[in-house]
Amino acid sequence: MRRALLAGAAVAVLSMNSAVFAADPIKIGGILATTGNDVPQGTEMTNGMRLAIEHFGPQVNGRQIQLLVEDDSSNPSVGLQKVRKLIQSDKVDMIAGVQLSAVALAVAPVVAAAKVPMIMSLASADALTGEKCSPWVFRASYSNAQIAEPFGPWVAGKGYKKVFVLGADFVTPREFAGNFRRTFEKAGGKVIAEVYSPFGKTQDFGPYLAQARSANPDAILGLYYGAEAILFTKQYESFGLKGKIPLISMLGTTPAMLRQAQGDSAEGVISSLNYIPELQTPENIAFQKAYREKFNASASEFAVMGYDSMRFAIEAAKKLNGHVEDRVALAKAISQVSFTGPRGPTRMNPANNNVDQNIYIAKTVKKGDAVIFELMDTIPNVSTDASACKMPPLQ
Amino acid sequence: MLLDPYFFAEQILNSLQFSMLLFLLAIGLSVVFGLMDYLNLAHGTIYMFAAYVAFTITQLGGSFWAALALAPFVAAAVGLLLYFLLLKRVERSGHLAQVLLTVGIIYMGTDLMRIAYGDLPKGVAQPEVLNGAVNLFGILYPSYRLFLIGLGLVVMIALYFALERTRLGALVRAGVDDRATAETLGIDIGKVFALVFAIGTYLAGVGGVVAAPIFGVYPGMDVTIIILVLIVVVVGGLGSLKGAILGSLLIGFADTFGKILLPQFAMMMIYLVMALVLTFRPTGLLPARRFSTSG
Repeated sequence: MRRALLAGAAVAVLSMNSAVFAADPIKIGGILATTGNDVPQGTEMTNGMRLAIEHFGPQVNGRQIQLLVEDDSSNPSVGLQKVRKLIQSDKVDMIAGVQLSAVALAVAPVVAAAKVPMIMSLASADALTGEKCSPWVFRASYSNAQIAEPFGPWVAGKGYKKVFVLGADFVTPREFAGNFRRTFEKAGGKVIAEVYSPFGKTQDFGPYLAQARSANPDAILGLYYGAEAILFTKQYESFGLKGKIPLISMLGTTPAMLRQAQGDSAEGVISSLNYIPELQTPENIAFQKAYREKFNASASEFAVMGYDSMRFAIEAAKKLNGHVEDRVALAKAISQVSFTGPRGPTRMNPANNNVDQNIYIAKTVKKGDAVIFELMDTIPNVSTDASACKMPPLQ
Repeated sequence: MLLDPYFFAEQILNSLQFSMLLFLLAIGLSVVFGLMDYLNLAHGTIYMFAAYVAFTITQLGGSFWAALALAPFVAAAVGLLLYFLLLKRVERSGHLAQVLLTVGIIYMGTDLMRIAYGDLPKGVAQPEVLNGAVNLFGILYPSYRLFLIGLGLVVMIALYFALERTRLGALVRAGVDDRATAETLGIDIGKVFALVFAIGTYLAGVGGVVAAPIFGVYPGMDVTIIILVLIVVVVGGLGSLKGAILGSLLIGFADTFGKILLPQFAMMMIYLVMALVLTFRPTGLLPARRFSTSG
């Protein structure tokens, strides 16, 4: 009798545990900009993340996936506070959306110490999967080197030998320019000058454009984002440079979300990107359709990176059948995720925890009333040099 | 590079264009501060609001010119409404109360625009006729920016005549110089205030509309511009037209040439100019008599 009671109690306790387990959501945090200069990208990333939960969730083995988004206002110290809140009071299992490199660099030690895997949806500074790599930090977006390096030889190969660089003064444009310069000059090109304007504070690019023009380059490499990208392309056109000196760029300067404001000034720009909405693959066509149905807009590279970063998280959780409490297994699982997504073949590279992907060279062209991307070239399966990363052991 | 005369001339035009935009906003802020002793930081909010109204007008099919004709009036109407409903209450409560109130209005205004229009920056197309560039002595300069310079000059001249040659202008100058005495002379300063405020906000609205095609329309444009305008007013001197003109020219040139000489530290040039001016002339270069330290 006593044994039966004991057995019964054991069964009851065990089933209570799994009942509790089944109800316990998988909490995934996100640190994105919902205020400040970077809101358009932040909003697209969040949209992508929510769409991924719909497509690949909304639950894993009975556990509901719960997304908690916190605002970092594009500020590292605010981002740090919010990450601490997500880890300590919200008790998130993973973080799957980090936008700003400065925020990511600040929070990387915190997530490593707390053993909470972080999958960045942008944060492209090279160091994050270079000298500062960590078994707890993953990047589903791209590294600045990954986008810029293949572009150098491509640009030189097209006959543009002298390039003038104009960019906003923060880490992304500088790393883009630096990586581009290295491979471009090796391929026989020459970067005449690199001029950077105060980030987020410049409204009038007239003086900078005039400087670039007077140096007589074959092409101008323009590295601006958000509101600055709109002003830059519009002023590029109004100063008569459009059509006279080709404008080349990297992803983020002429994304779909800025087209209404940029108008025709966005036309004719050749960029190196990891994604364009116009890719004609079945996965991308389905993705664009679903995004448009839900958000009534075309999805740019930012939406797809949010989507993929959440997908990495969910696929890893699925590998563990929802048992994400084993953080070491979770981190290992993330590093092994690979799929064919809207970007093409997308795979986490365990050597530096950066994503391996195709790089696309595309030109913006006018089709009817709208400006869209036209694919010029695909550089398949580009990874990032892992030599700077000395990955500490996962434990 | 500076020695290249074409480059130099182009930068002068760039400076002038920026100065004109700053002037359109500075004159309203400066005279309101000079006449009413009212520090209205929400001046930039009117500028932003007019830009959004212009965007809406163009979205509904109106032309840029329609927007330029209508939006500043809408902005002025909203400005007057704000004045009578809110701003007037702290007219005599000192600058701190005015700053607190108007900064609150800034926050509210920015978020209202964000709710109504979203966070993505919007564009207003330049009018077709001004779309090209003009060949001026060998420089290819955008026609639209030349239009801005022309507009600024017209406004400057019109204001000069209004202030110096009309009775209303005399009333305004009297009120700025010595409000108390003006009132004892039977001048209804209240009505003069309202009119000056309306004109000031109208000009800010014009600034918002003409700036939109170049600088875009986005929540936060109010803060960006008000900082520059405050510097212009402080440097130029409070309450005077000449001060606003000189201040906007100085800051426009400092900003443009700062960008060429020290691209990363362009902002520093403006602050440097401000620091230098304030060191030697704490009340600005050409303040109205009431504010100058000499008598």
